[in-house]
Amino acid sequence: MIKLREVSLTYDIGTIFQSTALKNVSLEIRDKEIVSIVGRIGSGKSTLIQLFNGLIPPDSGKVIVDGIDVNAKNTNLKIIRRKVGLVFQYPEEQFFAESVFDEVSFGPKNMGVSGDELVQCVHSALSDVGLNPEIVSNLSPFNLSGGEKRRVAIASIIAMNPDTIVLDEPTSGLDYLNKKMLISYLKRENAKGKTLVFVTHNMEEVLEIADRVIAMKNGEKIFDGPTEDFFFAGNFVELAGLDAPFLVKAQRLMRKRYANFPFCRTVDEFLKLLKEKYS
Amino acid sequence: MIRFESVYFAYEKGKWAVENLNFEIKKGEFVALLGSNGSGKSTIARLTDGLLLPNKGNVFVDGINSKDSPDILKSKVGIVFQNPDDQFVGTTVEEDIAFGLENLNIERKEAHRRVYEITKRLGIFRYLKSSPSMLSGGEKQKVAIAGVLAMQPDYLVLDEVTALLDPVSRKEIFNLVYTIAEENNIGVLYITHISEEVVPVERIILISNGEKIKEGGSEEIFSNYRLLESVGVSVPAIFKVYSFLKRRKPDTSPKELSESTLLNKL
Repeated sequence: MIKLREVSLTYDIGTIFQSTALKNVSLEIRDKEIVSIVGRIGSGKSTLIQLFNGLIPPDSGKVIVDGIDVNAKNTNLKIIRRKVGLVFQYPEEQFFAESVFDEVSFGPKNMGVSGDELVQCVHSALSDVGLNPEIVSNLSPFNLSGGEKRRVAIASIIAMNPDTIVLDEPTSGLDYLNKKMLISYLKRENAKGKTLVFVTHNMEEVLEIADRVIAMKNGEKIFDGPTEDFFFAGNFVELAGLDAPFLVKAQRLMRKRYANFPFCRTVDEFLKLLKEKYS
Repeated sequence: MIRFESVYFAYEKGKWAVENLNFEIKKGEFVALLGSNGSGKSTIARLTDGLLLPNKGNVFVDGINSKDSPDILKSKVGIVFQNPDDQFVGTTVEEDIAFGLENLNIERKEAHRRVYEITKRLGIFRYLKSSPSMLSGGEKQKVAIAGVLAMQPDYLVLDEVTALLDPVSRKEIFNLVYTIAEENNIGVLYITHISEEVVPVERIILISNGEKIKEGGSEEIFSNYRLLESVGVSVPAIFKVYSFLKRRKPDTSPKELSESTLLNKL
């Protein structure tokens, strides 16, 4: 469980670049949830997730992971990072190793895993993201396709076996099939008991998989609740400066027309219901 | 007119990146090129302005063969890529846009006028003295597009220019390019892997593995769901709803494929 209590953060205090990134944000990420963090560029959403594993400390307020105060003087950040794995945006830009195996084993090796156990751990992480370890282990990560690179980057976090996987725009720049694959692998990690937090600007993805949405605007949390409420209990999407996708607009219309029109996560679910209503 | 005549291109022997490709874009026409990652889209972009030359077949721009004078092609065809950070040359937005004009030996006063006009039109005038690197992704891409438009090309090739942007900026850029091209009679090849974007485009070319699979309007391109899945392109949600309505109300026409019209029909 990750808890933020009244966290504030200002970048470049005292310079002309001074800007408030977070204002008094409190939130909780509960175990095994899928939480989506949304907002426009500069809303503070990417800053927020960097607090989750102590990568940056807040100016005020507290970040608590499984009861441990992340920014307390005596906290061992290694322990926190074993619990919370962070996947940056375009993580493949930070590849450094000569082989996929070296890339993915870097994290667990640093944690003291070695020998057969290390091989086992790398292979299982690669399989988790749909890559065949026998085939890819010895390849250079730089020679993979865009979708495969992204998956190797995510595998290198999975290999450290964190309880929570936090991802910044995990599907950005990927095409349809790669997106679809990645989402299904992430859902599977969640089904296996991992907590998932992802920052995205893709509202269709939020609609499809998130249990809960946290919306940010100008460094403040403006919504925190179930995905269904985010899209349908008011105009929170628009308040956050985002565009409601067509599927949401169509459902809003149906909800007005029929009381109890159920919440649909995909267009196929929606059309199935429509068929029933119209016949 | 841009004309691809049985064009073949390979980076390595025996492996065509583009295979027997035929299509045309007239001046003032807006054509979308849709395909998954690795389908050959960027290769086609580079063949269009003479950055790459075909191994077999010909690319003509207004009758000029790219093999004869690739330089003339570069002056006729403006091209913008996915990542604007790779394309900046100036330290300020103004310098960056003016750079291309200096290279074309355009007189200072005229260059000033064009920079002023195009930045006004794209809504980036207030950033003239800013460094391009300080801007957001959407604004950066506008600067890159402005730089190309200032050179007044006859044709514009946009290679995944919105792929890294959020949906709000994506729509904004698409609409801007669409209307500016229309106003200035510019032929556009709009390259993307995002099918939702091209729903309003009248002519879409679907490609996979370097080959043209289909060419036509939304109706022709999106109606075969299985085919799209097999080439790694999604069926836009709006098109699925449109098809559903069409089955119930056969008079539904592709002209109604817009959010507001369809919502009215639901």
